[in-house]
Amino acid sequence: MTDFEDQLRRALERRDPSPDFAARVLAQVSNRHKPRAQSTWFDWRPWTAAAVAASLLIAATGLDLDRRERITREQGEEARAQLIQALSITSTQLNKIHKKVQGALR
Amino acid sequence: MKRFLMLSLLVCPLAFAQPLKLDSLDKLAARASSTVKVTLDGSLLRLASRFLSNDDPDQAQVKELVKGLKGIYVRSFEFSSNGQYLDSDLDAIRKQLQDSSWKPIVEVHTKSDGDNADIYVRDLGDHFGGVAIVATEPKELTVVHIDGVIDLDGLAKLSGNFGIPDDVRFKIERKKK
Repeated sequence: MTDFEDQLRRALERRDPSPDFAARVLAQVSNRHKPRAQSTWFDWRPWTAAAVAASLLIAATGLDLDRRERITREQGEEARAQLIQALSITSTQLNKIHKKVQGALR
Repeated sequence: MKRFLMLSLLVCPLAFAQPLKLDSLDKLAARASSTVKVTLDGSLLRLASRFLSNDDPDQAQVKELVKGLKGIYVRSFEFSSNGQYLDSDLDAIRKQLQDSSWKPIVEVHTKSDGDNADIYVRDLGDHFGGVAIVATEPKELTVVHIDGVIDLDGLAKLSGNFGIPDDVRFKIERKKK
């Protein structure tokens, strides 16, 4: 047996773990599951999310207000046109009646 | 209590006077060459008046007139030939105008050209609560209902822009007396 083989056998031979091995493994595992300590540095992520959400809300509200205003303006213009048309028809009819009344009175 | 009930019975029909129902005429649209249908209730009238300019004197006058109105309803049809509508098409309207609150103040009927026109006012005691016009010609039929407190002076003021003659108002008032 060569010296190398002897070294290899010794290196690979079974050894029992130290008595505190299990305790150390469990300690490591529980350390990994512990919540990360709060950074003392300013955490910008929630503020960014809130700012993005607020911006989206403002933009959506603005768009909705703009849409409502546009619809109201269109309805108002339409209603005004109808009002003018209605009064125009009324006045035309009154004129016709007026002429007939005048003709009858003569 | 009895007095209150009697008063309620007298006041309620006037207070809740409904606009004329003109829907019965809508079937004529299929036969008409030209149709105008205007239905402006109180909210639409207020919206329309918001879009009338205060700077334009004519529009400002209209704005002032519209203040007292609850609605404007118009049905106007033009036909390409005679006989496209029957007098009975107006029966539903005339029936509504037979209500005691409506008073005919002008009736024009000419046999020669077949033109007929009636003006009614809704008499609410101390003021007019509306005006209705029913005008028919062989090729034309128009019904107008202006619902609400009519300011005849205001109506007369429209003469500049809308061609409403000043003396129609006085004739109407004279006939009523």
